[in-house]
Amino acid sequence: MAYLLHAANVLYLLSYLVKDILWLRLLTVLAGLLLMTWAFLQPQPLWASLAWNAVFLAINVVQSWLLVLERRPVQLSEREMELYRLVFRTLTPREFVKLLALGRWEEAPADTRIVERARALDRLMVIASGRTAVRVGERVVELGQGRFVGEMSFITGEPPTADVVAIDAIRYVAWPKAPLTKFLAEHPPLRAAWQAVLGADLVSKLRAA
Amino acid sequence: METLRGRPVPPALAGAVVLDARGQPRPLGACWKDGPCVLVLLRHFGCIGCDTQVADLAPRLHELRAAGARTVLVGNGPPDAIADFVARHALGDKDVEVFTDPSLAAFRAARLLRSAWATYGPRSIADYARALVGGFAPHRTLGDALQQGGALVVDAGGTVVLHRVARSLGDHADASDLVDAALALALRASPLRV
Repeated sequence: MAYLLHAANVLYLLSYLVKDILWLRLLTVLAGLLLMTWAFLQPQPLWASLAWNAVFLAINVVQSWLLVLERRPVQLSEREMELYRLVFRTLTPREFVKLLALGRWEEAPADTRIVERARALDRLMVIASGRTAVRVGERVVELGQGRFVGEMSFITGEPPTADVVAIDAIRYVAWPKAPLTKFLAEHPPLRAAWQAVLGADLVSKLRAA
Repeated sequence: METLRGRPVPPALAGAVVLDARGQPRPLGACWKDGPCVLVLLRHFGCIGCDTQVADLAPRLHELRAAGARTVLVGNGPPDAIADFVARHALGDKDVEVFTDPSLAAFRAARLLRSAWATYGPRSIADYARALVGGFAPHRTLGDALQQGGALVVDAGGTVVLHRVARSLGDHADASDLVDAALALALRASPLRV
């Protein structure tokens, strides 16, 4: 039976040598199984050892599964891919998918007012296709594909100071403010990436205005 | 600790004089004379917590600049320690200015903490351990070891829109909070506020 104990420890040794956390956990699971088998096959089964190893095994199996889920390739539809290329290239595809899951694809026909001046706005939108118009004093500024709408309320909490009207049929993704804010607060690296996207949009708008 | 948020910059802070790397005096108030300013008050130049803070902030400096904010770091060590600090963090070619205030006048005016408990208490020990695990190395103390840091974001009119007081050596303002404040100021100043 001693070979089971040695094999388990060789696997533990290997697990300490690898740098990838998933491999480390998988090797530990295998080592744990061998160790549990060895403990069970003793003339007097080592129940305390079995119990503790069962706990470690369960934790490692669950964490390994979560890692596998995180590493699965991301599948984007054509419209998602287009929006990703257009606006969110600084995010990883998986981060982008997580963000998209919080939002909703919406459409609006031409002449629809999607933002009303001086009215509190509880969502942030990014235009995926079509054009919108914003009146700034005497000028009309066009916001098209890839532009954000609603960042004033999102960042400052203050209402927008102009209407935003669809020039033609538009398609956009809208995120409700509260869940998005909470989600970003819980994911600091994603928040930083999101800010970079929003900041770049803001800079190009300042230039356009 | 009373926050300065929403208030004008205290005269003692606006009037504080900091030193550049050559030891030349510079009025701190000039930093927000022409536009918004992100003012980060570090601890001494060898502080490991400040290293983690600058490492967080450095990749975001261009975002602060793009939002129209000037970023100023103020330590409290000798002026001749600035050059090493700048080199250590590769700040030389970035949108940031580094000064020092050995008198601690700016720190007091910004109502920041100075205490042994904040420096050597359990929170700071945990911060220190986190920094070591994060790959940061300790350096020689170059300045006042008891002085804690903080951050302010000041708009062009001299009003404080963000005030962060550090409670321990690693308790620094999140770079994302600073960027958020700078973006909010840029938005408010923009004619296109939607």
